[in-house]
Amino acid sequence: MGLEPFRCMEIRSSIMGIPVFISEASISWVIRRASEGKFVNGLDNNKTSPWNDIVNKTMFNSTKKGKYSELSMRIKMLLKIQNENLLPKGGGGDQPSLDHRVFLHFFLTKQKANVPKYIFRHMIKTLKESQTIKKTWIPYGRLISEILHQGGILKALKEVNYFTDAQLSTVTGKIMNGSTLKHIKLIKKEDHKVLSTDLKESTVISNLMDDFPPIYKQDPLEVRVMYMREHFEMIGQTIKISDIPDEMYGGALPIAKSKRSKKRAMTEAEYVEDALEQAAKKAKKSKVTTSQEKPADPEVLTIQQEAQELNALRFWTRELEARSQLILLSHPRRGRWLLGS
Amino acid sequence: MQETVPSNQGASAYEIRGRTMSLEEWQLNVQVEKPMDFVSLAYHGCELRDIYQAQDLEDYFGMLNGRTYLSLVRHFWVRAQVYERKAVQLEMDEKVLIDPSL
Repeated sequence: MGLEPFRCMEIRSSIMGIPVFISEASISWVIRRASEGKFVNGLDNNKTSPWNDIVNKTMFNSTKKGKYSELSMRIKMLLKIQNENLLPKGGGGDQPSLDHRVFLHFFLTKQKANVPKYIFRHMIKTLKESQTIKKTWIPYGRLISEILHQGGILKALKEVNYFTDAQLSTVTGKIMNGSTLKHIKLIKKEDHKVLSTDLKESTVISNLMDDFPPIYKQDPLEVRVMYMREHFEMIGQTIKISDIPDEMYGGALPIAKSKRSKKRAMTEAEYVEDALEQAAKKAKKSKVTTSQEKPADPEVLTIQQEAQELNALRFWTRELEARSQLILLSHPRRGRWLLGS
Repeated sequence: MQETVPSNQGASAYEIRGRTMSLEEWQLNVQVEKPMDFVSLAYHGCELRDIYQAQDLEDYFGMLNGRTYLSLVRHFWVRAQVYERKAVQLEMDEKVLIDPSL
């Protein structure tokens, strides 16, 4: 078709500020298939095109265009796969355009078609339709995901540890097999058999971190320490400081925020200062009370210190519990830890 | 005149946010490709493996049985722009106009 080199044509976008380019070459690389072979495009159902005769010969073994019902099971299935996977259509699979019939003709006659180019051009066409006529449909969900994965985008997202599969709405496509044939009535119901070799949905776990601590670096040190200790006791694993995200995903939790704003966020230094001040006050108070009866002896003081530490511990335990509840509410998946087994 | 003003405003609003379309993520449906079980199909009298082997597409069909990240795909789509030779040339010409030393 005399098109410009692929380097000149690409789809550019970005994910979380990371640039992503898709070209014919990147599709070819991801599906491990050279970008070579025949490519025919833009026939626009032209009735005078010489392709009509060629295609009719291959599909219907006739010079006239036949009906869908006249096609063999194999061709019907090939057409279905083409409409689902190779050149996805939003509907109307029974009446393929001349372009799509030519594509099918290449497959049936085992002439190599330039599949990466077909896919790329189809992607561009639908993208332009989204932009111009607001077509609310995206083809090649799995292919685009794989390009993002192999292009290192998922790795980059993994490094910030922000996302879980639930947040990314992860899905796996429905498998087409013998039961599909049954479903579209290409075979009889009683002829269908489930095989032990039947393909199962991919069990590959996500490429993303599946769990991450529901704490973040802005948390007070005590909260982090307490959480890590508890986690270690329950799971037997230590949380590395590098595993803790800088910020809670999506910003602070709404309830935590309102709580915080009332209290005003404390820095570590402020907290220590505050604690010292309170300790001093208490010490003074206790001194006043104790001095009336007995002069303070070192043993009493250590007990008071211990009591204060216990108070602090209680406070942070409470804080932690409240937080776990929040996390359970908003992220059931992550809250799993806190429930124990 | 009054009719064109609101649509212009709409357009600039999404362009500022780095978007190339007025559609929002939640409005878009992602079509996820279906993994193929060619063994099961062949058992039921529909042998297609030879066809896809001839096209060198075994790896492609193997790839289909994996995760699709719907949110990322939607995020990608609403910000995607097609760059063709014409568009790139036009952009270069504009840059040259702004800075003639180029």
